[in-house]
Amino acid sequence: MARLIKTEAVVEGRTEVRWTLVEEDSTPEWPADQPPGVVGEPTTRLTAGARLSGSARYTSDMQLPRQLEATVLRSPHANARLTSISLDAARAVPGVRAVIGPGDCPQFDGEAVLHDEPPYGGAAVAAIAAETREAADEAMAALDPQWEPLGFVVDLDQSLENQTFQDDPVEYERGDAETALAAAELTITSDYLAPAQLHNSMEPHCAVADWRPDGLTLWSSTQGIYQARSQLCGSFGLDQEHVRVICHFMGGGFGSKFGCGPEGVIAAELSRRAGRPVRLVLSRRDENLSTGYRTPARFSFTIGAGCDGRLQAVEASAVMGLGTGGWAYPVLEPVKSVYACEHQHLMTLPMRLNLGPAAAFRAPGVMEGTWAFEQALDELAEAAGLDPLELRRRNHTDVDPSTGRPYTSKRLLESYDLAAELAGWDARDELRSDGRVRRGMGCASQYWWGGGGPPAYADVRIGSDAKPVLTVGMQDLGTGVTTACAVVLAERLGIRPDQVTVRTGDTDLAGHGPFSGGSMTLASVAPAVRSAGHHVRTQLLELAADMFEIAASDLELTEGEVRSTDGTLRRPIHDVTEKLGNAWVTGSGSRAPNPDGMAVNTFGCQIAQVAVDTLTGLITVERVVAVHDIGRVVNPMGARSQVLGGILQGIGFALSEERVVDPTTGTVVNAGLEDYKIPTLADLPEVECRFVGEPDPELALGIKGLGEPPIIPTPGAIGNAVAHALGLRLREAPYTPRRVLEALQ
Amino acid sequence: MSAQSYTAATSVDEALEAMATGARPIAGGTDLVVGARGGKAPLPDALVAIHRVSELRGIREQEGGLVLGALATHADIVASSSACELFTALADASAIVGSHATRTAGTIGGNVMNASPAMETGGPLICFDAVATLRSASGTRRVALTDLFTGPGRTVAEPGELLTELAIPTPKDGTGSCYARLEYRRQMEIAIVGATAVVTLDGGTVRDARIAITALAPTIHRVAEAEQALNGSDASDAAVHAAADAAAGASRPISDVRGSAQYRRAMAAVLTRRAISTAITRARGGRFPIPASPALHGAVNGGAA
Ligand SMILES: Cc1cc2nc3c(=O)[nH]c(=O)nc-3n(C[C@H](O)[C@H](O)[C@H](O)COP(=O)(O)OP(=O)(O)OC[C@H]3O[C@@H](n4cnc5c(N)ncnc54)[C@H](O)[C@@H]3O)c2cc1C
Repeated sequence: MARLIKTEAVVEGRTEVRWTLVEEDSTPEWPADQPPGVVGEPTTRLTAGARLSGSARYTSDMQLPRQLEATVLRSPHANARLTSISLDAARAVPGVRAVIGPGDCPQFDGEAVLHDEPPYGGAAVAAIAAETREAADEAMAALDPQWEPLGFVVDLDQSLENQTFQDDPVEYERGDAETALAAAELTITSDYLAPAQLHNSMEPHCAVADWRPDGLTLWSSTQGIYQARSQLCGSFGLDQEHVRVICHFMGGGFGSKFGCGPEGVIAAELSRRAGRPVRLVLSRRDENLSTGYRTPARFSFTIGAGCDGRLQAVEASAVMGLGTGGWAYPVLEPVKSVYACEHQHLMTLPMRLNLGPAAAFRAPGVMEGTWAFEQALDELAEAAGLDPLELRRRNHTDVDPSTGRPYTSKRLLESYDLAAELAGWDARDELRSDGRVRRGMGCASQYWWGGGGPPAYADVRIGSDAKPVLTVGMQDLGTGVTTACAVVLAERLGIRPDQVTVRTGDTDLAGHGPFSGGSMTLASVAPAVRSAGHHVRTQLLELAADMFEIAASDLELTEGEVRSTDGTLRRPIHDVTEKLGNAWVTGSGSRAPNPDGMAVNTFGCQIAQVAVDTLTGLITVERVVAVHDIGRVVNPMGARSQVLGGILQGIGFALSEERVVDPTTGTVVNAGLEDYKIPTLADLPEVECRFVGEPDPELALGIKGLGEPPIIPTPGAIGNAVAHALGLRLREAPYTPRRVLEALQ
Repeated sequence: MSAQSYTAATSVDEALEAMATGARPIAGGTDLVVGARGGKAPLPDALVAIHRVSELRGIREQEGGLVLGALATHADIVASSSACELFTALADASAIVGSHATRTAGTIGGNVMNASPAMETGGPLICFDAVATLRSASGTRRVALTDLFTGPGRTVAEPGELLTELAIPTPKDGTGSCYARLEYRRQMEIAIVGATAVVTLDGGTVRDARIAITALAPTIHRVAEAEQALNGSDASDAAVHAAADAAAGASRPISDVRGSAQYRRAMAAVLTRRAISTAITRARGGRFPIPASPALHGAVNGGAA
């Protein structure tokens, strides 16, 4: 029977209360100690072959009959007013089918998509759809826009002085920080400056829209097909039944692709006007100017502690450069929630700048906040004469320090111990030298949410050939969640994961589910998949019971066979399903809520070893030990690859990635991949990756999330390792050779 | 970005014919096409593809040296044992061009004729006395690599001239060489600073030293003062330092988002020193991995890829 229930979920640091529809569920829990069968075995991605051979179809690969190509005119100025534009001249170019300017396009999420006063360099102003890319380019040249440049602010301090906020400042207080600081035996103050990191997903933002009299279909590179659908309904006044959003394969998003994006609205509007399908794929440069970034932030900490290193009070502020969009990402969460500390006063100031809108980026706020605060903690450890890991152990908390709630599970102390052992932490001072190359080792803690929750739905059907089709209301942004779902279903049906066909990424399929974010997808959908699989299993066993005249309770599905528990019957599952002919056995499942009143978090610890070339200033990360508590590991191969990716992206933040803005023009000077340095696979250090978490006893299937956790501690651990190597601390990331050499002088 | 006309030549003569009417040659396209897509320069109106011209392929040994066909790819060069043994600096250079994909598509002819002041193989080719053969519909001429580059993206070649091959004489016995670049990452990088050293030892004495600097001036060029500091010396640390300082002194770097002029000048000395020391090690018969660059910067990288 279906019920509507009210649940609470923490998504990227924001608590949301939602109503959800859930089905009653009689699926037995997995035992904690022995992950059954395929669960916990390394499983190659089901889509690996398609991805490698190029047969996987991404949104940017779509080629519909009569499809038009779109381009977007973007402002070259940091802030300007459009004084004239020749839309008609562009329309007159042969091959041009639609041209729209400011005022011609519906809004996206209540905001203008085409601007007559573009507030940043790269803001969209007009859009063109034409038969060919060349015709579109020619029409672009004909637009002849005239600008009146306006004053602009791209400097954080300037914006602070002007008090121009993009989002409301966030203040958090517990206890009495001021008094406690005055009384503390040890106090340290320190500042850190985090850079703007650009997402640079391999696939840029893109959309293919096909507007027809009977409805709109949008192929979108999106982390949220259902969110995209409701945004399109909002923009165009359509109802859900007439909008279909599809995302079969996706080349990453990292938080920058929630919903359909302005590109979805532009493509749809152009398609509506032209009566033809329209494809809009952003160039790398436009991507890096307009689709988001991790916010740059200036952190200031005053920390008070006892001589024993126990935290007593923290006063902290974070000034964030949000540009023209985004929200106050939880940059001070690591101060608030990771350690026991009674007195706190935290202030987050999200400033507006004449730059593109910020967007969530893999552990938004928390990664950069961890980078800064974990280094401040090392400064405290030094002041207290304590081993940095010992300082962290001493400040461990058994309950969420801001709410007092118990955790569903927490294995942070175990993470410290294992990481220290694997890294050779106790001998870390032996790495140090005065030579040309200096080595050091540093650690950082990891804290994040995860855990998932409703709504999530799945359907399974199995036909005569015993190869089930699993439909899940979600999209796979590239994390491998599709494969993990196949593993979960395979366990229930006693088959191999590669025998499962998984259908996702289409709002016209049954069910719906979460967007891919907050490290919540697998933990949300896996229980629904398992429950759907269980329904099918139950029915198959009943059919087998009829056929073989053995009670269903004495039968099981294992290794592709129906077996009786006494071992007398072993027949391929196919022997049962072939009787179905063209009929299906079907089952559906949904995700039940998490327990009330408990904190659901993932934890971990990383230790990095670095080598610093003191003559060139180049830093090499030689080794990273990553230990994370993520509950049950469904596919160790997928989990490890998330960890490697997170570490590499963290290395980019720490060492080489930085959006550079020319202060005199307010425009970004390195929006291309030639000068914006993302680490390559060859830069990946040796990684020792372990998971300490046993299945979380309070969560469905014991699964927590892993998408975001691995990036969180990497930059902080690198920062601490560099400080250990050099005996001095770099306060601004990335640690480019120039900054390293300046610090050494 | 489309060109107005495109033909694919199957012989040098066909290519020259097309070039005589204004077509630009395209080999691997990794500079030309990628540059056009990135908005650096539009594609020329007429293109003649030369990748099917088999006469231009391959690496062959000939009396007194090696001949690189214009279509020899960076991957070909790294796979050639003669290149690795005799012209180690060149192998150091080709081995770090772009990524695997770039090295199998990108050619030595394209690298040279694109004439970027930051390109990898120029320094080694200049120091090894390479000579380019330029052919046009009206004849053939040979140009020493030292005289080829005239500025960023510019060479002495006339529009109708095709580079057909590069001949490099075998260095004297006792020669070791190295090309090193400063890189912010291990693949897909552009030299922030590069240095080439080709050192010939006779006993303990430097008989001949060739030093060139890359990404430090409008063209890649040799630095006579640096070579003088090393020639006739005992290859001591002091001599190496003096030579490297002279190389830095001769540099005229620019400031851009990749590095300030000041940083580049400072690094000119460091990189030249490392290149010379490694060349000396190799001249003495010591082993040093190819490519030299990642290993030179103090870091050993394990792990995937
Ligand atoms: C991702 C990437 C990374 C790269 N990394 C590096 C790097 O690390 N180091 C480096 O040096 N370069 C690098 N490059 C640049 C490029 O790959 C090399 O310069 C390559 O050798 C160019 O060869 P090509 O055959 O692709 O040249 P093309 O693009 O085909 O041609 C380049 C130019 O030379 C001309 N040309 C080509 N062949 C001839 C000929 N036979 N006669 C006359 N003119 C000719 C063309 O007209 C054109 O102007 C990189 C490029 C990319 C895309």
